[in-house]
Amino acid sequence: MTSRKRLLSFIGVLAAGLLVTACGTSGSGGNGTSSSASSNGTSSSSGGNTPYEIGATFALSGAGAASGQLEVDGAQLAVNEINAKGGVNGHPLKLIVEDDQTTNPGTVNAFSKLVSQYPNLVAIIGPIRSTEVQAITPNIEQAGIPVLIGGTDPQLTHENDPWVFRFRPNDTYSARTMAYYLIKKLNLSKIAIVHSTDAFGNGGDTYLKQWIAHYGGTVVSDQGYTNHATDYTSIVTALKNANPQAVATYCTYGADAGIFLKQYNQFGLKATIMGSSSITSSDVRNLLGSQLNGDYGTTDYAYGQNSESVTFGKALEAAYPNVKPDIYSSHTWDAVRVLAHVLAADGTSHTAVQQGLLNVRNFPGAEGMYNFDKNGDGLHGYTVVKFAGSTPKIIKVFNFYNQSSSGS
Amino acid sequence: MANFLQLMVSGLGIGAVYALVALGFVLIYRAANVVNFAQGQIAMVGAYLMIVAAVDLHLNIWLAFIVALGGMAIFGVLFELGVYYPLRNQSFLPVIISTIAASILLQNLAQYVFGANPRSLPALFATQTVKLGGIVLSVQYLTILAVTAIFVAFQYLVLDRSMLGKKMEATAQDKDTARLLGVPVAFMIAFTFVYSSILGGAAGILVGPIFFVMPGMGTTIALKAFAASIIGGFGNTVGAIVGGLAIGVIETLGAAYISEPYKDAYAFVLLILFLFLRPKGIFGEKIAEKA
Repeated sequence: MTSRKRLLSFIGVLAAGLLVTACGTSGSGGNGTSSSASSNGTSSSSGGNTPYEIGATFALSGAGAASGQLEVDGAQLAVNEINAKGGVNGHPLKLIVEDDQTTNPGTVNAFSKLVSQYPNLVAIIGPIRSTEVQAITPNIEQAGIPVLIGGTDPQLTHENDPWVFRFRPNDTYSARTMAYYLIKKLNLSKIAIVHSTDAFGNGGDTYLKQWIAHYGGTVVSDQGYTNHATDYTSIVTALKNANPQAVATYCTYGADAGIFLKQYNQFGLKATIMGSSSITSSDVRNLLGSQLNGDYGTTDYAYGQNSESVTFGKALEAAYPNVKPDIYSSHTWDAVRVLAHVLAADGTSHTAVQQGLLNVRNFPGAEGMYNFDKNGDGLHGYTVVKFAGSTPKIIKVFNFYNQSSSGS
Repeated sequence: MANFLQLMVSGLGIGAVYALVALGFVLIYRAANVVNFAQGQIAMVGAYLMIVAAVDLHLNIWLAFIVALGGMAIFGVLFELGVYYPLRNQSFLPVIISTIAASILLQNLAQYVFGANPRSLPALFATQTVKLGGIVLSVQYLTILAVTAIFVAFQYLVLDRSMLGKKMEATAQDKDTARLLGVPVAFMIAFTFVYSSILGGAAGILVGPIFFVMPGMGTTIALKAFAASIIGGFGNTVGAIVGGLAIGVIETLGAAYISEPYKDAYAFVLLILFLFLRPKGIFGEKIAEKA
């Protein structure tokens, strides 16, 4: 009897574990889109050819699970659109997603699994969080496969790794845009900084301080917090004492930005908010709603910033009715489309894709015009938005690549 | 001084949440002799039940609060039957592994059912802050303190002085003897799980309007609450409350006056110090009286 009970208990725990594993890796995330090893093979004319496989490490579980599903949605939308038009040179695209669990070890595992189990991958769409890109940097070099990242820490493409290509503008551009707009356009020179203390937040803090000094402003308070902090009373109190004219935020997670801004508003602080791109994420907009009214943000994706942003936004909302287009879905949509362009023009070997990406010029994406420099940075500008209610309205698009911006 | 008082209220408020969860840890440990590592996820379940009742079903906020707590009582029964009862005659290790499995399962189920996007939970009171001179106090933190005080008062004035409380105490001290004396031990353990689930659920409901509600919200709370129960003296209900409040205040004041990025470390530095210098915690381990 006892051994039977033990067996039953063991089976119960095992079943629970298996269910957990299933939830963790397939991560359908509640809106029914396919993810792991999904292709949806919607091509009508490319069905007979071997698919071109694109790997992806997205956060389908853990703290970033909300954003990871949006990344899947954007990439899958592009794959479906391209396959519907016959694929790339007659080959359908196939997206293979591994869950990075929003952790560095999880990202290393997901990347290693993709590389070892799928030898025919043409490229891998990497993480949007800089710290996770840092974690797989040695693996990328070892694997020798093009990795299309969304992490915005400038160092990620400046460490002589020829396989890393960035599909979002890096933080030197966002910091420059934030400092320029606050100081030169809004005449707010006493600025406080609130940032997460990971690679993204610390990098943003460093560049923001440089550009604030460059434009003649002063940093009156510099407040760091660890990701997933739940109480910002001490930071809000410090800001109250520093009495800044503006608060610039670099928050890695949208939910963190949401909690901070909620407590900031509750305590009655009135300084102008200028957020980095996470302030425009659907998470923050859903959570805070009209509390965002009057705040500013810099973002790499704003609906209407160019014609492709509108095409993408409409297509995403048509494909996923409850999903708002944002930075998470737009950069993966762009990455798949740029990659398809390169595969068609230059070939599918890793070296051909690498060289092809470096030669991409004036490719219109939802995030902006892609022009890859020698470091592997494809975008070079940001858009300043101001919230009217919970809707970000475009104020000005800055593009530092062509040096045509007034922000220099 | 104004800042200090503002920080103290926030620290005590967040500490009260740790205290409620820690109290759940301690009560279950005393009754069933196991540590329930799913206590944080139980708080998360409470917050989601409140979302369903108050946001999805549009119930009046106070009615939703009562419905959610009622739901937590039912959840407590199911949790006890599914996670503890089949393993009740095993040593503590299989039960602990079972609670860990339950914690992961609950978190993933919540993500599966409700999605990964964080959700807003309305506060019990519409007013967000009150101003006393130059101090701005969060009404939600004051609410947390008030509700925690009610639970603690219920614990001491009703539960501990009633026959029910004495039976819980008897079950905690020696199950076999209690059974010989006619105490329904299985019922008392089930009751403890129910009460602990209500406490945990209340913590989640109270903290939801501050944190936002998401599947992973219970993890950090549970870690701090576990540290609180050890600092207070594992097995001691007073210790759980004092430990929770102490951690809340220390991390908030530490963040304000020493360093914000190391905020999470203060609780665990304190825990390590206690483990080295006073492993029994502030009030000692009441369960040791069993021997």
